[in-house]
Amino acid sequence: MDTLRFITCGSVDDGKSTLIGRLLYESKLVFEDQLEALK
Amino acid sequence: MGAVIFSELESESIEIIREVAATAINPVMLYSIGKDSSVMLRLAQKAFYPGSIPFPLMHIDTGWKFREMIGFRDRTAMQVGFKLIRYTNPRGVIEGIGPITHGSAYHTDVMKTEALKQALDLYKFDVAFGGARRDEEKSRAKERIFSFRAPGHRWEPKAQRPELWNLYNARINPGETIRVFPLSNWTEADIWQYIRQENIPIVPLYFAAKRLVVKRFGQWIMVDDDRLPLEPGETPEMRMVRFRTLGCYPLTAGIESSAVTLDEIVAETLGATTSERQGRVIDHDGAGSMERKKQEGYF
Repeated sequence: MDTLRFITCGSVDDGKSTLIGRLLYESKLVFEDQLEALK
Repeated sequence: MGAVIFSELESESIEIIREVAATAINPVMLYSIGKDSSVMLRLAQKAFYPGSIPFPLMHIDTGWKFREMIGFRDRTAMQVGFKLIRYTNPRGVIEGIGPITHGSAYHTDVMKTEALKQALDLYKFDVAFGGARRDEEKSRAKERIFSFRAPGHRWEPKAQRPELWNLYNARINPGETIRVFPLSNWTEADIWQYIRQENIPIVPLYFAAKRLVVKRFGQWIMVDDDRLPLEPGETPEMRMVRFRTLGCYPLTAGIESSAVTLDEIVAETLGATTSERQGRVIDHDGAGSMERKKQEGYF
């Protein structure tokens, strides 16, 4: 398993955190209780 | 897989530990006896081998840790040969503060946060290592590796310094202190695989065994001594449980598990669908409660 390093650039509310969150979710790195806390 | 990632994580952590040893006036390593502390201790040994660790380790003892943790702590200090400082908030002892009589939030405020601040002031430590990881909890996710604390130990999330690549800025302004987190980039799975690879000793509570537990709010709480009052309808029973994280025993839930070897723990960790902090009662004291605790000086 290789380490992927990346950065996001953008203005306020452009969706940086949303994009990172989605990448974590799609790569199955978000636990159920963490997801539940966000809902 | 594995070996390459560990050598990267390991090198990064060792560099951080050496950077602090080279720049701090009076550093200390916070030792909480858990699996992350065990890894951090091993990394500190490696950072200065064959010399000994050039700073003390300090355990903030709330008086409510699992008994096995205290035994393990004292054995480890003897075997590894580091200087161990134990500190308990004297006010909490005098007032008899505990998680059952005073609630988890107040207990944690006094016996952990206030105690830590007292100890750092007492010994005049300027830098304190902590074993927190970014994957543990969301307010820890945005932490720098070198986390600056204003006078009074307050954490100002918006006043943190930029941290570019591995260039750490350890220059301390008057009144400031730093918390340094060498394990920031490790995950729970990394920790377990590294413990297996390095054969690092850990508290036996991490391995499944038949233990006396009681079901409370849907979670298994261990009856570790006679200070845990039973609610009406609660009956302690023997269950195969283990702990993913260790803290004060009335506030730390075990999980049902049959994992009795490191291989089985690694397999279970890699397949886990919930986070390890789910077993920590204090994380759920209220929205953003970890962020609030951190601002007040908690790790």
